[in-house]
Amino acid sequence: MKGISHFATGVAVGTFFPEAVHAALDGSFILALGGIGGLLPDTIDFKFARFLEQPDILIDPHPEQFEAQKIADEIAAGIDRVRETRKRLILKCNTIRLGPDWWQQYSLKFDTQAREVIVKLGPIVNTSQLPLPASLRNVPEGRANIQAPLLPAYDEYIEVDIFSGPSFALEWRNERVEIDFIPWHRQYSHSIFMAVLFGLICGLLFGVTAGLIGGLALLAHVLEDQLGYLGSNLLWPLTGVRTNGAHLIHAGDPIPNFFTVGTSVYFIIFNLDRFSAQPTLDPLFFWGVLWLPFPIALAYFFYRKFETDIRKKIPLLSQQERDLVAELNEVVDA
Amino acid sequence: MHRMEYLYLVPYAIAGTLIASTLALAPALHVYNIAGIFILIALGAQNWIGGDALAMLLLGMIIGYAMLNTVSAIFLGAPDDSTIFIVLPGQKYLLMSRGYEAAVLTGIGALGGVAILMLLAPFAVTIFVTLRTILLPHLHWILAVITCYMLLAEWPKGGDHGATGLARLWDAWKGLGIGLLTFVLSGILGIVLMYKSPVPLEMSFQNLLPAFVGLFAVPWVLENILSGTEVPKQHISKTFDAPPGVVARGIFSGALGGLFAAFFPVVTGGIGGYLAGHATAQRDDRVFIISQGASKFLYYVGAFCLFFLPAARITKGGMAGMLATIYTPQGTGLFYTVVAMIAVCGVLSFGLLLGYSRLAVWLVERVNYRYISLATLGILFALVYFMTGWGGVAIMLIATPIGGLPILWGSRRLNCLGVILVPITLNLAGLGPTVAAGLGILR
Repeated sequence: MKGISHFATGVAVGTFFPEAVHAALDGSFILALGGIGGLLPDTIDFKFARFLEQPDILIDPHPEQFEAQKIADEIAAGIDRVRETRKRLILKCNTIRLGPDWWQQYSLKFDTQAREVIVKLGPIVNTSQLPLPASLRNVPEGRANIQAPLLPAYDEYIEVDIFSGPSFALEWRNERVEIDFIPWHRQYSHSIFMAVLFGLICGLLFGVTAGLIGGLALLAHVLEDQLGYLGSNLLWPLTGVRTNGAHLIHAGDPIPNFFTVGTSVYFIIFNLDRFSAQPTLDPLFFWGVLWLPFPIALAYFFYRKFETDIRKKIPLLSQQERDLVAELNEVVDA
Repeated sequence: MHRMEYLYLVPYAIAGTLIASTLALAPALHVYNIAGIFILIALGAQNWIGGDALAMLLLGMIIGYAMLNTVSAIFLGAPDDSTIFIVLPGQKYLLMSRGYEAAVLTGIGALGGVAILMLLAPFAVTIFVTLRTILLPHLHWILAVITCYMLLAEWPKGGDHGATGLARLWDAWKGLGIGLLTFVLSGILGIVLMYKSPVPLEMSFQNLLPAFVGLFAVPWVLENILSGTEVPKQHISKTFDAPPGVVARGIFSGALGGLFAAFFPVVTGGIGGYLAGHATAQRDDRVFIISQGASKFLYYVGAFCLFFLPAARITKGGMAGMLATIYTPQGTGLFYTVVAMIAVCGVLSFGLLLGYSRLAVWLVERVNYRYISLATLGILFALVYFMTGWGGVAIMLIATPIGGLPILWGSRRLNCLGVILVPITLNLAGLGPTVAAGLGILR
């Protein structure tokens, strides 16, 4: 889900504690802890973990000497090396910055059916990823064969253009090489352990209620992410891999995100009123009438989604990586 | 009460729209600057212009301004606190020969804002009075939560280069650190302005003008001068690449943000639009521009409209704040007259937007953009000097490097709004004087 959905959920979690609402009335900022806890897992990943990951294969193309074939060869060789050594390797693709607002786009695709890596040069784009007209150069694409069998992966082109480029973990699993997109994301930061740890830190610093708010807000983030196609490493440090999610939504789907933010805001308003000296809201009217557009929109979303899913039958791995692409896009948009 | 009783107010609203629409073309000349002067004049002239007429004149002005302030943001690159988000996509459109289209898209968003206000008017009393009762005692932490989100949701824009993890982390955190520094410095500037402003007392209603000009407008204009931006020939399109779905999404998102900003103190149309854009997961440039148009219209006009709510009279925004010192609106009839005038003046100002945007296109095509930027800089300096004296100029000169930090380091310009978010959040929590004393501003 998008950051604002997690953040709003975290704040809403805090308002379920009457003592926190009363403290807030007296000038406390305790409810902000819920928002912080709600956004903390992505903060850890996108502001720290991604930069601490050490790449084994670094693709760092020169803007004026872009050699698509050489890049494709290097990536394919890396994948084959994983089969030979059985050793996990990290592949990192750097972006090509041309100026304060201009970037040279290139893209790569792992064609798992044809066992090929395809690399091609794209247009020059600005930081909004809008292409500069007539900037597409006629550079031949690079194609390199992979000897190692591959597990099905994201089947569309992955664009490398602005800010920080993506990374991939290449790992030997079930007699095939698995290409794991942005492996630093949704690991320890998105675990029950982290929720408990953050709750304990908040509790020690600000008291029991703060601890419960911080811990539960982080846990809410972790649970919300389980609704997607890719869950998280929920039981870290006992487990080492990311689990499958419930396959209900993608991280960037507008309606589920809007539903979550809207419902969280409704909970915040309702709880603030409920715990005030003179409650004014009629729960039946508030939830039965005013909230009604949100579940109706969500029901429509699921109707459309399952109709499309039945028609398209997109592979699970591809769906999971679409989740991650959506999260990367959010970081870019922000 | 005669049903034609309010008809005499119509010319005042239209006059206000015409005045503000023209003044909105001057870069950084905020409608509140002019309205403040109008109110000062009206104080001495209440015998010949009644309270209702003055209110309607100001309503027309705020409608005209809310619709047309994008022209200077897009074509002259001089944004204010509510157009800061429009200037970046707007100038991108300008450099792609589509400046006129960007301006019109904001206008379409604003027209959507008009429609939203019409639809909400019959329910406004119930909705906003209930919300105010529930949320008013909690404003301090809600503002803190918004600030937290703004700061936490700024993501690194570097970090690819560096041999070690720590080197990459440093590369990534340079921009984030500058973003935080911008927020802190703007916040301190805001606290100074709140407790020890060098702006003369008689012009204290212009207290924030030099800070906003320094934080938002001057750095952008300087960037345009230094980078030697060249504007290509512009295309005046007769049709727009904005299908109904895109328009509806933009207006919906902008309406959420604008209404939120209209109701909550300190939250500007830009912040509201930004939050709503995130909440509705929008990624399309056209949706974004339309939503910002709707958001800033609802922020300015919606907030002022709340002032006329029968039996509620919610005072949000500079215009309502100034008017509240000399006037109290009365009656349901006046409220619905205000709603009707929003429709009339909204459509009128949209027509003016089309005309003035063509004028701006004519200007940027014929005059070197560097000269336009230099002239804009001169206007900004003169405006600050005449409105707030040398004290204001000093504030502007202090604010300019703070506003320049995000431009130089590629961090988020929104952080400059620390200038209002920090002092007001602290004051609402009762911590303002303590922090000001801690900084040595108060003894």
